[in-house]
Amino acid sequence: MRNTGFSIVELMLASAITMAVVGAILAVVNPAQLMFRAQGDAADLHQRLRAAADTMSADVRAATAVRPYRVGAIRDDAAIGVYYRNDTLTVLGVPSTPLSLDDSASRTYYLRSAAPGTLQLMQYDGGLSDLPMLDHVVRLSFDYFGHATSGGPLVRLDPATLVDGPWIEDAAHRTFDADLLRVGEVRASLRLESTDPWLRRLVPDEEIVLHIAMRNIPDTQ
Amino acid sequence: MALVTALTAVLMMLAIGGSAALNMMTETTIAANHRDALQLLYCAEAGIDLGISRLRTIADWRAAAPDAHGTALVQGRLTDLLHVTGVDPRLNVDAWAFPDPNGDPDVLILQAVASGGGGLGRAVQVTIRRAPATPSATMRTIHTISWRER
Repeated sequence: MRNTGFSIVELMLASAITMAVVGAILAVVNPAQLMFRAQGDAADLHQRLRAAADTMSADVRAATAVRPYRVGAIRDDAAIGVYYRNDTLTVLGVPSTPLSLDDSASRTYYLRSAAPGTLQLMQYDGGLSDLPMLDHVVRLSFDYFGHATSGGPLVRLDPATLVDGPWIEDAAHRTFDADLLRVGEVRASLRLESTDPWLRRLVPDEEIVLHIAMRNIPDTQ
Repeated sequence: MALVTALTAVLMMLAIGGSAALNMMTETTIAANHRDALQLLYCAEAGIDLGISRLRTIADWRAAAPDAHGTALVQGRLTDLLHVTGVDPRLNVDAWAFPDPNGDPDVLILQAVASGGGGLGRAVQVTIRRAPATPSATMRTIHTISWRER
């Protein structure tokens, strides 16, 4: 029997079949890889949301008072006459660390521009520590709720009412709008985006809205 | 050649799929733990509220919490304590009353510890003060002086 080998037509046909199979496989594997990366990124997004929700909720719950501006030794807003920022919240009278027994610390949450087009959620302790807490924040806003009348339902306090006086001083001789004494609940809205711009088509922004009742304000049961 | 490529691709897909499933299970577990921790915080707060409601009926708070070891006010499954269904049956809460360290008979420290499935636990400690008794008042108002969570 004479071995004639493969003809050019057979070789081309085999090559075409192989290329078709490899192409089909790549077409399936590539999106799967992208989905795999997106899944990890979505988990990271959820974890960042949970961390922010837990930290801010615990602080607002424990706070004896809140201020809608930065309070502290460095870049104090009141010192430059700013008494309201939509994306800034200071909680007063909170423990310095979650397990400490003191309740004289303050913490400010605010947004800072990091890389171009990227915002960071910052946590300032009122002293020297001013650290980033979360990256890739799209939006952060706070609203304040208080009783319009004694014993009445909680209503949203117009920001204008929080900067129009009357002005009083707290124990640390810091001036603040007396309407802030009415605040009993804080609404925090936080929107985060994926850390990878290429994945934002697959991992859309996530937003949480927290209604947090302050437990340490004067209360009657 | 095509067979080898196909087998390699199947293995890759299996690896990606397996990792994705693992990621998903981990994410589900984290989310469940987060939900349980929140549930336990509210359960502990419910324990405090139940404790306060029981203290309302006690005229002498010194008898309610005679010593620093504390007195149990509320103990058991939350669903049994509230007499309702629809509450997670795994949730347990213990609420204890402790006397005021400064000896004020109208001040008590309440501590509630909630526990549930998965070995999680949350605690809330509240200091409450009762308004002074007056002949005209039928029910003395109770104020929360401080609230802490653990």
